[in-house]
Amino acid sequence: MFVNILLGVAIFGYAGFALFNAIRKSKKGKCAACSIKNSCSSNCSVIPNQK
Amino acid sequence: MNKLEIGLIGNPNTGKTSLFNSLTGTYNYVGNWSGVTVEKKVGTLKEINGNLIDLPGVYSLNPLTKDEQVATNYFLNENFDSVINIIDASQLERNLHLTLQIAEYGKPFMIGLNMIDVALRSGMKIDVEKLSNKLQVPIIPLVARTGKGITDLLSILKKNEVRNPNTKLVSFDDEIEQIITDIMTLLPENLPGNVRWYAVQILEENEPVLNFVNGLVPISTFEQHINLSNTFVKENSSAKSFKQYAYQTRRREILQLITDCVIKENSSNISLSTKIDKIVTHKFLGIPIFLLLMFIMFKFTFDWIGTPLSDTLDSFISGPVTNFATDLLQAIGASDFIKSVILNGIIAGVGGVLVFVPQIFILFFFISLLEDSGYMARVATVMDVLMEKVGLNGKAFIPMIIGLGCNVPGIMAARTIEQPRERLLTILLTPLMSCSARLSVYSLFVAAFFKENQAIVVFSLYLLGIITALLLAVIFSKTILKKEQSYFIMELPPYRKPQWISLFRSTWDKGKGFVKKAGTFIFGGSVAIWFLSYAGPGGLNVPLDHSYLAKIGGFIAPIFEPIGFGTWQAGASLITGFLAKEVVVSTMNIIYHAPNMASLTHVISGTFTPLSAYSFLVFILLYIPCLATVAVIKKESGSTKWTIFSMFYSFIIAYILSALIYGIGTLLGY
Repeated sequence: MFVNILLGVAIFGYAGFALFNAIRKSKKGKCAACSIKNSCSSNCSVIPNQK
Repeated sequence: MNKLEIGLIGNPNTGKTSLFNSLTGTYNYVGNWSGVTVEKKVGTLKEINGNLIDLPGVYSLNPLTKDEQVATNYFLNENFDSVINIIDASQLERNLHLTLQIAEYGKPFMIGLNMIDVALRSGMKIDVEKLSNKLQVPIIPLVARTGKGITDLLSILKKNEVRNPNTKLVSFDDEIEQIITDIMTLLPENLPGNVRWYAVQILEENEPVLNFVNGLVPISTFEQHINLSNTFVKENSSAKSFKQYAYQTRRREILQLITDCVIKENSSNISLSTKIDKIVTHKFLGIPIFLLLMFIMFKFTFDWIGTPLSDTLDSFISGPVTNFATDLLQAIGASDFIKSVILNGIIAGVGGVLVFVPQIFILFFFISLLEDSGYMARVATVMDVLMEKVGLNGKAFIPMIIGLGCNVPGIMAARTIEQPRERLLTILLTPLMSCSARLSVYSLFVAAFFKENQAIVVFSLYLLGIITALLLAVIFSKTILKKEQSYFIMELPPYRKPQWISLFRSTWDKGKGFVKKAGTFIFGGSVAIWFLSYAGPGGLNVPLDHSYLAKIGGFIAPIFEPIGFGTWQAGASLITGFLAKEVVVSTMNIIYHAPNMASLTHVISGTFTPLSAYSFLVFILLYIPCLATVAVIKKESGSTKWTIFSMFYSFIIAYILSALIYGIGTLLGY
């Protein structure tokens, strides 16, 4: 019984985490992982004059 | 000691990314064409406490395109210590324009004179010491691809011998110099870099610089100076604007530098590149050669190498792996519920996708081979004529080729296109390129229905994607996105012998996402889909036809009846496929409870006919960009309207094409 609960929690927990994470990341697009996104004014946002 | 921050800048396709990889010991995507880097990349320098920032390739600090602005903004906003300017030694004249502007900026920098071997072969002998003395900065001859000269470059950085350059290399007419001095007195003193550089850039009407300065001094202050300089230029030179005048003045200085520092020897041998180019960029032969190469690529991927490998992997997963898992679950006393989620959910869903890894890697290997050898750049020029005819920019072909790997970086690569409308058009059409995720769906179906003609069927789908994109380009550019004047100059890089290491890395780089996704997203998706197929309104462990998944799939299934696949299974796969196209395969594996690929193909062939299967594949190819792609379209186009449009138009096109194929096929008696 204990094994079942443990496996069940691990599987569904990880699956939920993986799904949630992946959807959150893909919504953000690629710049989310950029290490200088804070000081980078040109890349992560659309440049107004080129809209 | 503080951490050093060093920028890496140069013209497109001069080997910046190669150098970046050697200096940082990391690996980044290297392609033998312009515009590979469209955003900054940061790496930690080897042996030195510092960061190296790889900037997108630019010809000038006065940017035309979105990706070029990255470099200029870097100069304006980042607090860096020095810059490595990488130069293609065989294209000295063009490369030095940027170098002179960096020198004018005045921060310490050094030059990496790359492709010195190519320059020598074409008969150019560069007096490095003399050039270094003139510019007053260290110059290191390099062959970045093989790593020659890297140690010298590192030792300069280590000993901190990077020097302040000669900022007064270029001087303008006295009247202009006076205007520059006037502007300099109006500018604040604590600007990063040389004040004179700002003055010149203001006159050149460099947009990022104007925006930057505007935050400190109202830009209207300089209107008079700009007008004055333009009037002077028009009256006293052949240039039409100050920008052009500055270009001409720098060019004169560059030609002088070249006369002083370069000895040209006559090289009599017509290079091999030129000979090959005559054939592969031929007006009529170019496209057929490209198609033939693509076809051969698919032959390798499917018929010759890929399928046997995938079959082996499949029998491994469905045999030893599944048996081991079953025995283990039995031994630990797992309940039926847990057994089912692991065997029918995870192993079926994730394993079903992993099976196609060999094929995907083989395809990527060949695409990398074509890129790295320099051939893809030729294809882009060959396609240019065709692209221009349909209203696209010639450069649009590159995002599309990158899109064959994954649509997300493809759409990002559209940043290299200057005209906003052409860029938007490219962004909208790139999702029609068949990405590797879709390949797994094709693999599954061609193995079931087109055993003898796998390569040709998949080839036809890829081709259909490209042709549809071109046709839609014609329609869109004549209706909703009227075309603007545009130019395309693609530089042809020299052919080069691909290097195994870089080739394998490049293949891995493209394919790793697929493997990673299997462990994360596909895993999560498989568990969720399994649960929807296990549970229903009637409780848990319901018959499949009464599960939630059947209800959801069945709800939209009637829409697909006219195009040949009105089953709830197809409907459910298509819905889940929006999250990621590979999930279609996972869903099918879970729905059909197939223990291995052979039996899955058997079950599928019971519910599809070859005709409806082909119609389904065409639909999968086009019906909607996946979630990640939609997010990038939104980000890059900056418009919700166009994002929604990209989803709807592709669905409609997919439906029409599938209906046509299914209708005509049925009429013909298939």
